[in-house]
Amino acid sequence: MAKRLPRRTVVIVGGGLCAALASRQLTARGIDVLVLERGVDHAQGAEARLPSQRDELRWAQRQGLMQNWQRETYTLRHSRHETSLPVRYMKAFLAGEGVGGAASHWNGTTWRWSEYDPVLRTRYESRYGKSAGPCIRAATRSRRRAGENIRSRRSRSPRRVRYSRRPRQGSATGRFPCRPQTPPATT
Amino acid sequence: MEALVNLMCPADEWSPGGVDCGLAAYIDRQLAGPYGKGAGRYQRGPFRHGKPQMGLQLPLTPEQFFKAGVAAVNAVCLRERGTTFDQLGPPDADAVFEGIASGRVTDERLPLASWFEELAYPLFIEACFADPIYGGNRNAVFWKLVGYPGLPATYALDMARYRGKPHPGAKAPKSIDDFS
Repeated sequence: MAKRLPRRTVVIVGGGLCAALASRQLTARGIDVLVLERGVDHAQGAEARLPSQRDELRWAQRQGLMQNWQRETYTLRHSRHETSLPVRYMKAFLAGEGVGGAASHWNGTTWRWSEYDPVLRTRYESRYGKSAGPCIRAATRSRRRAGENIRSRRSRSPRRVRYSRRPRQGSATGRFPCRPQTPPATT
Repeated sequence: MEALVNLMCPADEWSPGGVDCGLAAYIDRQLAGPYGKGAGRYQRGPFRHGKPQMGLQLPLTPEQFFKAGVAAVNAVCLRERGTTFDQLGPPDADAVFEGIASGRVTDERLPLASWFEELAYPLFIEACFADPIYGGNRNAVFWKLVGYPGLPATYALDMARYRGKPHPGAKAPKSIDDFS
């Protein structure tokens, strides 16, 4: 039988940056909060001290702060017609363990923008045209080809959010680089 | 193993030979340690052949895979050149590895090209550029070669100061051992 724990007002699953910020604001207002996190507290380990923290082989290459795939892994297939296989060692998607979340696993780092970042969309549009939108179309095509049943635009349920053809300036839709759209009207 | 690192890193005006740079020692220690035994790697079945994107689905630890690969390379050398790999001269050894890496030379039991691309070559790169405390990159020879200052590379002010310029600390790179 499952063990029953005392009832709490707010339970946050996963103790990363967002959990820390949210629980700080909640507890400041006197609200009872419990944050659940698997793994250890990184604050006292070799990962938090110098010089052992600067060990790229141990922490980055050998994934010293990540989920232990020997104990728990995922299975993967690219379409429903394939047989799933276990992922033996994760490379692209890394799930961390322990308190701190991305703040410790990915070192809370935001890289400086590359010089091409602010001009990427302009270059893309001048090369492929404003209505090319290949990212979304190619992805949909290949998913259909792989046997996935993706509904067309017309058969979408009416509750689904539809992006307007002319997005408001500065909206999330307007910044999304793959979506074909008309440029905002100049005044 | 020693023949391989000396082939991939010959003694020349840039660096001593691979063995003298500690590359063989690094690979040996890694394969004998937790990494070689498959720590952090899902190792149980089912073992079915999958697409390349699924990763290698072999019932072998990195250590076993490495040793099986060395045996397979020697078998290839015996078949094609009549001698084991360590007895080959550099041009012949180069030709054998070009055949393996390009997928021209194969083995019926082992994916030899994957062995080289996904195990032997990454281990070689790690041996060159990991911190010298692990046995490779002896005297930080490869860090000096590429102008990497070691741990001081993370000093925030220096990052801004030497962005796009040579880092003066690269003349004497600092290892984890220098701060311990």
